[in-house]
Amino acid sequence: MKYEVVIGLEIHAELSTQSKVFCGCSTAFGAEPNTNVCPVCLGMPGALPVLNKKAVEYIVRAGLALNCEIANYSKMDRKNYFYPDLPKAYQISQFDLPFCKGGYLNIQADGKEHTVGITRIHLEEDAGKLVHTPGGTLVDYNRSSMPLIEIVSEPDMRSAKQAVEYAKAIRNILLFAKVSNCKMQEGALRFDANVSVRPFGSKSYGTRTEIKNLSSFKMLQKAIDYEYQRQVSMIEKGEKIRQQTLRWNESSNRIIALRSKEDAHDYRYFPDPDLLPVILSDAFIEDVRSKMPQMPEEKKKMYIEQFQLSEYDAEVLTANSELCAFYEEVLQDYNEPKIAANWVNVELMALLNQSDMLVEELPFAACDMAQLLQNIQSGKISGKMGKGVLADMFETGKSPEEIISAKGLSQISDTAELEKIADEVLANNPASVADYRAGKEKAIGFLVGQVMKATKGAANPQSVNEILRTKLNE
Amino acid sequence: MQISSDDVKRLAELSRLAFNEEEIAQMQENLVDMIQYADRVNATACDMQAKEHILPLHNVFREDVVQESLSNDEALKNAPESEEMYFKVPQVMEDE
Amino acid sequence: MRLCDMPLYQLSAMLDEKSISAKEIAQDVMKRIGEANATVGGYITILDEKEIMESAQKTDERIAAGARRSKIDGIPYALKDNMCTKGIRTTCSSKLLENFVPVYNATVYEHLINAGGVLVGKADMDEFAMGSANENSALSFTRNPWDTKKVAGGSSGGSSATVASGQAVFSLGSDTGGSIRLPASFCGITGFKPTYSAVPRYGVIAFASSLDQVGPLTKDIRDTAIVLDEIVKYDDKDSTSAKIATNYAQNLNNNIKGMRIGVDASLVEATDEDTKAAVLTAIEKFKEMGCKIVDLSFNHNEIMVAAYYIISSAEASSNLARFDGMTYGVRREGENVIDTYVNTRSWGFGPEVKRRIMMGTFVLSSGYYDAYYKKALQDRTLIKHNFDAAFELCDCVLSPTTIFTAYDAGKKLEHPTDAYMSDVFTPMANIAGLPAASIPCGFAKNGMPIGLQLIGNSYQEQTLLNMAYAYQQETDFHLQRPKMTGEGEKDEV
Repeated sequence: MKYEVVIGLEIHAELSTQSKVFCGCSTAFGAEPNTNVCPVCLGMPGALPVLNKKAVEYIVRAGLALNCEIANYSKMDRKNYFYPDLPKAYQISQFDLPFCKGGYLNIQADGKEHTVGITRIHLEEDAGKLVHTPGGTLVDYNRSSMPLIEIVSEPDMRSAKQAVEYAKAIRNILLFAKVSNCKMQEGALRFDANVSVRPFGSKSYGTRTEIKNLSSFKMLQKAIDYEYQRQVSMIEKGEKIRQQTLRWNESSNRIIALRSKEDAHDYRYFPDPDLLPVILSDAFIEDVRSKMPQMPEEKKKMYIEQFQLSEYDAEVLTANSELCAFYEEVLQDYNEPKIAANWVNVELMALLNQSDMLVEELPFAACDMAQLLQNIQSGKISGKMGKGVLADMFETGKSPEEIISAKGLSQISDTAELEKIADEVLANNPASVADYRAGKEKAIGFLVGQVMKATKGAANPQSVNEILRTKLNE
Repeated sequence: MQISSDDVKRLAELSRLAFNEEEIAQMQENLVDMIQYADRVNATACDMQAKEHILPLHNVFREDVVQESLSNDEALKNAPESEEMYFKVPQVMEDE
Repeated sequence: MRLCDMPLYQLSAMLDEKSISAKEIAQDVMKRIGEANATVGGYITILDEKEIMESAQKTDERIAAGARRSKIDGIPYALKDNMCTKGIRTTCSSKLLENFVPVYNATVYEHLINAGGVLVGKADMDEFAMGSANENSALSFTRNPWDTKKVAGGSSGGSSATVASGQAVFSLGSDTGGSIRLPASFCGITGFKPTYSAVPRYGVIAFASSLDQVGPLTKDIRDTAIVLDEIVKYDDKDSTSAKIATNYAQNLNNNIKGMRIGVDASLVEATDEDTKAAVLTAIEKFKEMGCKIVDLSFNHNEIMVAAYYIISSAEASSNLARFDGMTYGVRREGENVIDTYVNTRSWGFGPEVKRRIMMGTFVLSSGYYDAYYKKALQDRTLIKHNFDAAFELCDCVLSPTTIFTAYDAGKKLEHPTDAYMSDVFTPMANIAGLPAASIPCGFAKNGMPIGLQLIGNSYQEQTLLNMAYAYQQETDFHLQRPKMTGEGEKDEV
């Protein structure tokens, strides 16, 4: 029998507020342990939470970006459980009245468009970080009470690939909405995957397991693939799938059970008496909407209609918020959207892909790229030279001006100089001259190549071509 | 409302409390008493929308402004155990 | 009368007149602590004499410079030990926090520091404020100054007994279901629980967050008004803090003619003979002063008490989860983290606290939430509505504070709920978030004080203060002091 995988994702994203969600401690990453902490986020007795207004704005923005309905009445609840990373022994979260409900997101995967339903998005606080050492466990509460949103999807994905594309699309949206930096290496974006399998064609769902805390797309893919195989082989052996929480172990590339006691958890959610309800007026929601940064769909439309980019170029640019931001920055100093798009999507992407780098890791700024394009535009260097310069910029981080002058790359635009070289080439290649004059058009290509060679590529091939033709036709 | 000794044990586990057999029996008796008393809340035929808060207040926010944190020394001052700049707790089994 | 037995307003006037110094007051209070502490108890931590005297000295310097900060500048006071004091141990009278020294202040304490008050010590209490006799203290003891064989009431027993015995001029207590009013009633002093949200809760170790409120325990309602003026302040660190303009002491007046007082006769009937007689006499007194009595019926009183125990236990079970030996407090190591949690908490919490945690866990647990916790919230909403309706008909509600007067210490109760039944008149103010006072209204035949409860509408503190002020102008129960000779009584404990 063939089995189909059914996947739902819970995505945790840290909001990029300056201060934590319930206290004034900084959210800056990389501080020394336990230095961004106060009585509130350490759960000290008597300390009280006060909700960060920006966090509310951000979750509303995320909700709007993901086509959710925004709740007019919302509240914070306590989720009670003991764990050393949770200093109050409860997490402030949302239970039955989250800020956002009922959204969706369209993704491209397996060559088709799919719609993934978004059940809800709620606001909660993050926990501290445990560091395991042989002598005991160390705890850093800098991350405690950082603002998190949890985006819960419907079980709408049918392959690991779809799940990954959905996760990537969510990341992209959050970046465009400027609500999270989504830095996965800093743990700002984490996934829990709910996975079940069922025979193809079945309408009912199988028993699902939850794989917790996947911190990269690769892990997400591997964990789902692994879990799918595990469940299928269990069913084929006639075993029952148990509803349980699992963890992906990256070093052993396998899944381990986290909590075996199915009913050990009873979170006893109840409204947090220390926090008051949040009532969002339609006017407030509209205000957030009106201040929304442009979302990828909108941008794509603009690129196609106003910039006359191809559908493909527009798609590539808007599928990656950093690339898109870089592109728009280039345009600020070089207002040729089509040419710029071509350079960003083709040349720059090729370099990035070769070295497996991200746009934000580029050693040069968008204005440098704009300067390079200006140099090509003005004819100072050729396009071909430009590619070389870009590669150098990528390698060294130097500015295009620096590279051009250091390498003496200035294109020869002095016609007298070029004419002298052309004369020499014509004199040294009588056979080709004869061929051309006998009607073999192609012969000119060889002659142009000879001039370019003599100038070490510093001539503008277009000009060389024209000069040679004039001389040959004399 | 009946409360079994298993119920007591389960509540104890959730509360991270341990009781010996004698204490469990005592606690069971106490809880039965208390719950019997608490059952009076069901005497009203009240289908009123329960408000989470009796205060007429809502939308109490703070601005997103960073304020001074505690020093690491202050943070760790009351820690039963610490190491370097960290709180130290007994070994947490990652795969409990 | 000794300085330590005088009310705040009087000492304050004497300081202004420079007829005494703050140091003299502090000295007399210290002397009384020496005389009474062994028998009455009431403190968990008493500050060093040097520290107290330095603080009084500073007031004297300010007075000399003509810069006295407030009416409590130079006045010795006690804080219930659930209010965080930076650098001073704060225990909630629990073994779990016996070594806890906060690195931050409760906002109310900040206000008293700014006002120039002289902190004498941290007052004893029932562990985590759970109890009504102060017999659940794990770290100290408190007895009734009128008879040290008897209980002081709780949970703010220390805050009450220290003031009644002259070991402090005033104190702050906290009231979740009557914890200020009960001990005030038992010890014959004035206790006041403000409207929920009036006094900041930041830094006050929570029992039940939606019910807890800090308030003063004093020897005179004028003192109450003075202290309220210093502590009823908006706090941006407490989301449930309200913005209220106050000038209670200035606006105090005894013209209560025409005030309508709501009375549920069945509540008065439910009390012991002496209490009933005293309360009925008080009602007559109010009538004489021109007040009108309006008949009310709180037929939901038992439901209200049940709702109170459900809500307070539920919140407590969550609020007290943080005392797990991980980041502060005492840890009792086990083999792993879970064992450590269990060992620490089982060792550290007393039986009453454990009962409430278990009860709270039960009412929130899956399958019971709707039947108990949610229902209690509904009933709470209903009770609030009933009060709103009652305050259409009257300006305040009068009742006894307790069913009986202070009883013998060490009395074993067969059922824990019996203890809950002893304080049935007080939780309604917390459930509805209303201001409420207990003022002395007589003495039982055995000499123990009796208290009268007045409940006002939200934020109508001034009405209650004026009612109590008018009453105290006409009566002298609040002027009586227990004998603090210190002789012979020491042997009793």
